[in-house]
Amino acid sequence: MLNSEIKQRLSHLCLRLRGNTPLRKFTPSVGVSAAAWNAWENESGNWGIGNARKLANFIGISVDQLEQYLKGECSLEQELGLPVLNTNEVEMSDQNDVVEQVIHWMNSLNLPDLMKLISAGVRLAEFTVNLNSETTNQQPNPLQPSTQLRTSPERKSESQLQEAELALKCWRDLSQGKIPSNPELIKLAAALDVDTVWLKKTITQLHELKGNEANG
Amino acid sequence: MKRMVSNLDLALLSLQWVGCEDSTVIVLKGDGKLFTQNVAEQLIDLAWDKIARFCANQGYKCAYLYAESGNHNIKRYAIPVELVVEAISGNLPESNEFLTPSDMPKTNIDPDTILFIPEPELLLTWLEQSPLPTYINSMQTQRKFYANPTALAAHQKPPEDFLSGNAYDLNDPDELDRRIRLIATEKRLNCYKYEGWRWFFDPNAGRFRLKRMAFISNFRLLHSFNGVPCWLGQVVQASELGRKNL
Repeated sequence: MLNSEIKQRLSHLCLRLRGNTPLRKFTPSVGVSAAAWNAWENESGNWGIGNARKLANFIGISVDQLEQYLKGECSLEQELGLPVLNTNEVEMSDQNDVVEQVIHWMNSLNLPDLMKLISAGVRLAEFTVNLNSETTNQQPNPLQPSTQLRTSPERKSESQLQEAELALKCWRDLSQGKIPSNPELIKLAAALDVDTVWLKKTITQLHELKGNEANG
Repeated sequence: MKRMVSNLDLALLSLQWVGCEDSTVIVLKGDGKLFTQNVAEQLIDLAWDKIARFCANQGYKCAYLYAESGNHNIKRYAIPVELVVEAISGNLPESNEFLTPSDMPKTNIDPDTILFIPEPELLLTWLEQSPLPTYINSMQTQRKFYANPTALAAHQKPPEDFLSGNAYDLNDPDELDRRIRLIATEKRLNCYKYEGWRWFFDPNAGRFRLKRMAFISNFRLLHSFNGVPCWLGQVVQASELGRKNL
């Protein structure tokens, strides 16, 4: 049984994770039912081990760590090892500042942690791309009020979606032991605004590392 | 056996190649404008290797394709020569005859010859092959009628784009009017000094800009070119003055 304080923390966590994404679109990515998620958000849900494991997997931590967080024994930032960003104290002039801080912090990680983080980022990106593709492909329903569009997540431009899909495709290639083609690398380098040769070298090094890992 | 020229080869032939000082080359559409993102990416998919080989043959290190993406953002696709050198395992890159501009021999016709030779004996090939930027403009309207390859290269612009305006675009109007009166009366001007403008592609801004130049040029009157009186100008010396971003 969850006490009210734990329920409240769980509710805050769920609301924060889902953001503006519609419930029925968000919950399949976690693997729990929309009803169960809705109950957590409304501080009325139960804490079944199956769903708890799915939520912990989604965040990228163990069930024990998640329970510690819900009991208020640690912060989520501590559990995930996330950088403490002074977003409350310092007014950020640009969202890129936060991104730059995270990239700076990523420099301090060892390779396995870095790869774990990148994999989690790729999963999130895949989710966002799929969601945006669905939104883009949806035919407008004249009988439905336009508020649905306002509550959907921020729509990405077609060009942004293409770039994200290209980046994901390259990542999938790499994780399957393939090096992306030269045209893909040229386009990815342009999207990331980095040097093509540097990108190719980095990807080749990652490919070799993965190969070494597979060979034990 | 003759090689067939594909649509892709024709598309590549129509591109505008702007050589830069840092051994890189900027690739634009034939009219000197930026590609759309889709066209740039199609070219990369179909011809990245041809573009890279062309760069290698011309001694460039990298080609940059500039494209306009959504919201007028400029995207720059870098195609380094290293990619193609690597792809052919260290062998010398094969030439691509459809991309390589014809290497016409440059003539060493004395600029004075062009200045003083009787008009009926003046050969267009001398102008076309001259290492000096050479222009022919209408005396009355200043409309640009001709610019030789050296002149187009100096402005980094394709002929369709460069020839679309008139001489007032690149000269101080008062000085140009004074110069035209002199050409009309003197018939020729030798080592005439003046200031004007030249186009250059600014890679940071992703567009053409003007730079202020000091010129020393020879001019002569042509009684008839395209059926109207024109002036012929050859730039003997050009040096850049302080750059202003326009």
